[in-house]
Amino acid sequence: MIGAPAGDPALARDSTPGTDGHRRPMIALREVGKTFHLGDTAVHALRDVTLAVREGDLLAIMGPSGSGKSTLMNIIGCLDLPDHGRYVLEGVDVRRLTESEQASIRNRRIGFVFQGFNLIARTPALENVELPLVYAGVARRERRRLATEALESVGLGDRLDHQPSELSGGQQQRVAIARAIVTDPALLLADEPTGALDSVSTASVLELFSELNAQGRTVVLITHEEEVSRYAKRVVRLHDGRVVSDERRTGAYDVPPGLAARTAHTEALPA
Amino acid sequence: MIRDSARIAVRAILGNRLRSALTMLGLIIGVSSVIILLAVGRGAQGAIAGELEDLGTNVLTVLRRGEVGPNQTGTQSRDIELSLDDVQALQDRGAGGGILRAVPVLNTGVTLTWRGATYAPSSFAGTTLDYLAAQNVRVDAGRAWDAEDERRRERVVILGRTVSRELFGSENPLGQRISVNGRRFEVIGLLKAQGGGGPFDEDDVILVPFGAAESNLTGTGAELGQILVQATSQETTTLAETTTRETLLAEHDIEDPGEADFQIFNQAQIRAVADTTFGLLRLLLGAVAGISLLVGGIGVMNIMLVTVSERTREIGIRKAIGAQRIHIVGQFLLEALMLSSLGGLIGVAVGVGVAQIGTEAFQPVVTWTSVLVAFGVSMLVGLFFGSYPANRAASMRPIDALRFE
Ligand SMILES: Nc1ncnc2c1ncn2[C@@H]1O[C@H](COP(=O)(O)OP(=O)(O)O)[C@@H](O)[C@H]1O
Ligand SMILES: [Mg+2]
Repeated sequence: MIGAPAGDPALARDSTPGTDGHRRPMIALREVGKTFHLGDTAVHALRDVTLAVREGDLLAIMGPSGSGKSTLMNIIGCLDLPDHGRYVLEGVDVRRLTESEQASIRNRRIGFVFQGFNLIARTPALENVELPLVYAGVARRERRRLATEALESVGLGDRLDHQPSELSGGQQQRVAIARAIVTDPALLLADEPTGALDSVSTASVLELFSELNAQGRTVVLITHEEEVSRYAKRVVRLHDGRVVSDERRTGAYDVPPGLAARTAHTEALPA
Repeated sequence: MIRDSARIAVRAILGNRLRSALTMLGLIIGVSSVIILLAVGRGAQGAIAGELEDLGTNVLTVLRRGEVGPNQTGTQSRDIELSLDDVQALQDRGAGGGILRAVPVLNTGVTLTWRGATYAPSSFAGTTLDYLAAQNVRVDAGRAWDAEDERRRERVVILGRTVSRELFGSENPLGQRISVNGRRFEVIGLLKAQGGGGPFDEDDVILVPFGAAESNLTGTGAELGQILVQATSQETTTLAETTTRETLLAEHDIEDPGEADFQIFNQAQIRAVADTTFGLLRLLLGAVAGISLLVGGIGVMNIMLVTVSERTREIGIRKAIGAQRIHIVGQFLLEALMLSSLGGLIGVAVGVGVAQIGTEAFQPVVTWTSVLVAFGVSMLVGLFFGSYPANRAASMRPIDALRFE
């Protein structure tokens, strides 16, 4: 079984489909813009990006370096706010949330995986994975149990006490994934998660995301490797801060053989 | 939550031992110097107060005006002097004037020799037996001279322990004949050790019967160095002082008290001066120690700021996975508090340890208050100087912290 069941009722999510039978969009961006100012020059990282992501989707965002992928991801993940436009996450306008509410959403509803793994140094894998639960106020024993399960589900059940420096890149990224899923979030965000990995690790990490998506989690994946996008149900391309293409790949992705049975229930959405 | 923060803080402190130690060093020095300096101040004050106590609180010292201490020997102005007539006049006023006894003291510089050893005691008194009672000292080896010795102007001396040690070393001085400014005197007694030492050594004294001093050392009719007036009790000290002033003004034919050619000191005055002096000294020491604590606190802040900026990325990660402001503030504040309280504890140990080293002159006195205050202040310093860096960490936007390289 992949992923950890929510031990804390607060972490349980409401995934009731809309009454009209359509799933409501998990993520809805409307004409979102973001400009950075470096001295006198203004960098338009995002220009009028409009994008809706449905629940249970596996979305790949692609584009050349500097095209605004990370900026978009940070906005989706409530790490940053748009300069203009509207961002509604699970029906809530993010702009209306306080700093603390945003932290709470990042904690319970979103799981992040970064290119650079971003584990906390000199801290055992188990404690790294426990950290989101610490901030969620989950009791110690429960925390331990959930974190152990999450690490087991990414195949690191025998590395609980290893520090990041004692793990390979692929293993570190698995710890980061375990940390992202330990609170059983509805949304998984990964910014070039395989950017620093060799091809073998890349394949296994991508399969992991594919599996997590198969369980019903919405996954947004940034990458610039075409190969990676084979796993995606939908590919959005950015260029110079604008969405330049948006294609749905019904059946175009490879389902790892062992997963075929479990993905069967996943409804193919019209493009 | 506290436990988790504590573990994180311990890990951070241990992860950078040298830097943590250097941070604490400032506080260790600050806290220990507060304790040591206050202990020294108190110890010194206690020593002085003890010596003043020994003098008896009902004794007045009459000096010629212009003299600053009891051991001056200059007797140039013949027309202004304290004489045996003055002593007699004071004695005559008696208990009615609050006076128990008046004691004449001849002062002069003397050099003692014995079998080639030479020593010049800081204090010489040619005086009567009453001196012992007025100064609250007694002879505890050999004997004091008696009325008969006094009358016959016997050349005998009583030595303080310092003088005895300087001159005789470990040999028994009793019965030995020493030379005092070339005249032979017999050592008949030793004063009980007073302790003290340093510039206030009360054992550095030699006593000679008044008559013998007059005929052998100062010459007959020499001016008195001082007159000790002992009141009948502590309560009558003020009365005795008034009597003494009136009597001496009359004896010296002076009408305006402002023109008096003598000065009267009582213990309260001397004590007040000493207390003021030591109060100031303590204030000064406290200020110096306080500044070193402040410097220690700035050290903590400095290190915490470095720590925060070094761990910017970590802060970003923590925020990205949902740490609230209070989690971040708590983590860094706890780290600062741990550093400062550990530094404070070591400082207390060092301070109390060093304060055990005393000298013969006095022993520093560590008070619980100073320990608690020093430790408490170091915690507050940690809290105060830790809160700015902690808040700075918590105020970082997660995205900026994550982008930080
Ligand atoms: N915090 C920032 N300050 C200044 N410029 C930024 C900042 N973040 C991103 N940018 C700029 O915005 C543009 C898009 O950046 P980014 O979203 O990181 O691109 P990508 O992830 O696609 O490589 C780049 O030109 C980048 O330099
Ligand atoms: Mg990027």
